Amino acid sequence: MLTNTLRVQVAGVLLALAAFAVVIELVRRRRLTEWQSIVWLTAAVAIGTFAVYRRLQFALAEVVGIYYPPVLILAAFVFGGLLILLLQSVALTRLEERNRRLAQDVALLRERLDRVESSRAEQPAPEDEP
Amino acid sequence: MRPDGDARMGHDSEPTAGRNPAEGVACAPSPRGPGLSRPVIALVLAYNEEEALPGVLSELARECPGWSVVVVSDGSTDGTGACARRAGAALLQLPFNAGVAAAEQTGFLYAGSLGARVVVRLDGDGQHPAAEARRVVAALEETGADVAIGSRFLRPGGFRSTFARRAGIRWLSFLLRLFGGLRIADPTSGLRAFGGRAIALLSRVYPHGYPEPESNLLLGRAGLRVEEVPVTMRARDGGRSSLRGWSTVYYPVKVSFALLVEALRERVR
Repeated sequence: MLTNTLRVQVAGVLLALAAFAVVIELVRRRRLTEWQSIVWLTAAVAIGTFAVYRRLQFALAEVVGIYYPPVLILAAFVFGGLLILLLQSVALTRLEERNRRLAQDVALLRERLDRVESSRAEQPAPEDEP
Repeated sequence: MRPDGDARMGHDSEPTAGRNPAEGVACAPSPRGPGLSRPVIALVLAYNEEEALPGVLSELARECPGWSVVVVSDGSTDGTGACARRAGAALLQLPFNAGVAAAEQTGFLYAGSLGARVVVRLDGDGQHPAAEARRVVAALEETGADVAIGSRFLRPGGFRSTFARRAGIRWLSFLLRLFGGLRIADPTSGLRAFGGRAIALLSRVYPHGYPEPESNLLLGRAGLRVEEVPVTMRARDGGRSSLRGWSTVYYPVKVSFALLVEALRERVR
């Protein structure tokens, strides 16, 4: 019979390993860039570390002055998550901007193509001339 | 004559010898295009406006024969592009609906590449009479301002929008005075004319979303001269306003916030 502590440790490690595997697989399939994967791999490692070394949360909670240690982990993950969301928003804004520029360039180039094609249609091609 | 820093617009101050005076101000050939024989560009924004657009374009051709007309089709899925081609207008087709701001900026980029002296912006839904656009351009040229706004509220008559919208417009007008010291009675008016400095500036930076109030603040804070001209507008010919339902409530809130943010930004030079 496993003790409760051990069960939590096993569950935590399994969760961390699963997260790790999923992230690695996404990078392998090029669905995630290496750079983006670092954030998520770090999160997976953090989950695993806190699960295995339970004393870590007590020590850290004492340093920060938190009375109830599990809150520390929760708070850390919530803030980490918010930070990631903020960075994603920044990245999204940049992509929107680039997307807009591309759309505008497409519109300008199409118009230019229209002009080139219509002037071609008016004048016979040079090789037709003697 | 404006002290214009943009080299492309420098021909404004050149002697006019050798040019046909009947043509008005001739335009320097652009290195990137065939150049503009007509230095005023009418920029018509259209999103699925096949019903109203032919009327707008024929009115422009009749009232303002000296202008080049370019239609920006903002991801239209109907015959808007075909209408523009049939009327002989230049056509800028965005591959998807990118919003008024992006569409308008596409027009400025186009105008800048051709070395246009003046861009005047009209809606493709028939709200803006061509004759009034001509008045706005004339005001821009007479006052030497960088931007001229066609305002619905400087003289009585015409289509003036609903009471609730007018109240919202007054609020935005107050914010523009507060944040930028600008006195603009109709900051949401889409009927505006832009000179060379404004064209160059708006090609570089442009607000997102519904651009009129924000770009007015941007231009004012950048030190450009913004003037207002009384105009009369019509109710739209066909199609639907992009502002309806919930967005009529959301719009003033969003724009107020956008103006606040714009006021906090570094001034554009």
